[in-house]
Amino acid sequence: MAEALLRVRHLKKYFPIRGGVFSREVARVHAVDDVSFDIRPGETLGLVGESGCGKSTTGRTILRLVEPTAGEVWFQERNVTALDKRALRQIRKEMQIIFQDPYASLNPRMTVRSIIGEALVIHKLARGRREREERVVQLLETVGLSAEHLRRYPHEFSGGQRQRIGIARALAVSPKLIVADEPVSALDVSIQAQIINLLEELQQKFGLTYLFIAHDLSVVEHISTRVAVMYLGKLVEVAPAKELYTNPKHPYTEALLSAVPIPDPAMRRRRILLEGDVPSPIRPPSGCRFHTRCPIRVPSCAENDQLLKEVAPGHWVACQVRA
Amino acid sequence: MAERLLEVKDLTTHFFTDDGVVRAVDGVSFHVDKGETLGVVGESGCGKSVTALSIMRLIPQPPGQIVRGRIDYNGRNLLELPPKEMRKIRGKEISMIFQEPMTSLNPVFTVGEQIAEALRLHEGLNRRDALDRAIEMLRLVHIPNAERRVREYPHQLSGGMRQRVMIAMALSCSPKLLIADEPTTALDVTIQAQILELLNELKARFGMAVLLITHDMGVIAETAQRVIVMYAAQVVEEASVRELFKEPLHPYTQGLLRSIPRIDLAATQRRRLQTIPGTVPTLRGEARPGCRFAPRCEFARPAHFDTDPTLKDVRPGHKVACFLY
Repeated sequence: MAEALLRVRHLKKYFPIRGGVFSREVARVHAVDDVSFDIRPGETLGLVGESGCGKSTTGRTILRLVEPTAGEVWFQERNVTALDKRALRQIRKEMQIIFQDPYASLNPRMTVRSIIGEALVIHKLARGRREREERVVQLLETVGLSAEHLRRYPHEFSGGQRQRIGIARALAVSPKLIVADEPVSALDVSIQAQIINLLEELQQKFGLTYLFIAHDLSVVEHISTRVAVMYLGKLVEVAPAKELYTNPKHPYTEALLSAVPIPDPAMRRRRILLEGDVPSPIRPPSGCRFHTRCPIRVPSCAENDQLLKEVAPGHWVACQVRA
Repeated sequence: MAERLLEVKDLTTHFFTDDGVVRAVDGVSFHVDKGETLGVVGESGCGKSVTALSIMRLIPQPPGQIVRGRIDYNGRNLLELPPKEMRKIRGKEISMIFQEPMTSLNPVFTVGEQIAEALRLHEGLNRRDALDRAIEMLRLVHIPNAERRVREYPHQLSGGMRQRVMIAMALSCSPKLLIADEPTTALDVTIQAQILELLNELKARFGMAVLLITHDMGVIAETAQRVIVMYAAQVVEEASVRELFKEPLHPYTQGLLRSIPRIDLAATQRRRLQTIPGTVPTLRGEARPGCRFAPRCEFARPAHFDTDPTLKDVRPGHKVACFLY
């Protein structure tokens, strides 16, 4: 088995809620609560979950765009969580991120040339203007754009093209790992397919490793090698993509999969409807966090914390009823 | 034979902006039968929402204007009704729910007051009775503790609950037609499943028709009986749900269906996603002749760029606007 490229251990991120006259901390949002996983070189780990489950915070904490409350992130042999500012900048050359909203994440006052070229300047990756320009054009062509787009501003592009610019910017520093945070959620289906295919091609071509964060299970299943399912700040199931979709073990995963509308009217399935809404991450339920909505809960679920257990090779489940 | 409830003919809605005319809806025709769910599917900017707003006569004017067409409802052309008559139809006969329930609910009124408003206006109920009915409506959409929730404000509810309140409001006067514009797009999948289930349940109970606008082919497949596919302000295909998914005729529909990742297919059937090259054309500026999909269509021939295809029957109940048929 290949050595992991990224190892996340007991990662926690609590956001303080301040209130009162002295802005004391009155509560905490448990966004990410003791999450551990590995990503192997060349694979795509899909991270799925519904809004507010902490999947994006996990992605950002790994890059230290958000400082973790506790836990460790190891990139190869380096402990990312212990790096000082300078070393952190160095390591960002290896780890990049693509965001959901390609408009909000591109500076509207900068041309495509400077958006993509900026990273080359900061990391001193090109000698002189000529070389930089050549590299930017090369990057644009890699993502299916061309030199004619150099002088344009983000507003002149469609959503799909903007996402291509975001990808080119991430590729500029030749990273090993890309955290893709809902990269196709804001796009129309026909454009979404173009971007997914592009990400797959780039992975092949440059041997990239992806952490692919999304709420759309069909997209995640399509692109991922392995999938991790997150609920209220915790991982509830991790398995190879095919295994997870054909043989889900956690009742939340089952409900999530059964809720996806299938584009085939001839298909009728049993749908598991969950009761109620996701509880607040400010005061998450005790024990298993899913027990308040779980169709197969037993009384002790409200007391016992659930840890991931391996039920089949590479298939981990955090449920005392099923594993 | 099913009875017609609504018939839209040659509907054309333009927006006259400083940067030129935007032809948002361009000669759209379709009908909705009593009690059926008609799905309207298409990508952003294809004109599906403007079609819905035109039916409700909620197009902001100016800059918008319905320049042509008619919308027949119960033997009357809605486009010719005086505003006062239209107000009697809106919310009573035809009501609408929107994608983002937070922006369509008024933040300074309790949900009870907002549901009661329509009841007092259309059904002439007094404040007390209207509030009682509001509680009843909240129970109908399965909101727990309806008596307490009726006094709460929109910000105190979750996204799924807000959409339930919107539905309660829309159904309070038992409309014959509910227009649902992307009702579940802003919601998580497990909540989406709850809301779609609720809509199906209430539709059966009230016997109302639903015009369901969405970009999600999965939602269409699971809830609609018939579908129209829109592309660049026009209807390109109309068929029963079964037929559309089994034998899509328009190259755009075919491309759209092939570009969706499918979790229901075994891994052996998995393939690289097929894409539709290029992007949606702009609807701004002078109208150009020719099939609007031709620049992205693999079957396009030079002649297809010169004349407009018409939407015609190729099989009973299956219409397509394409030169190939």
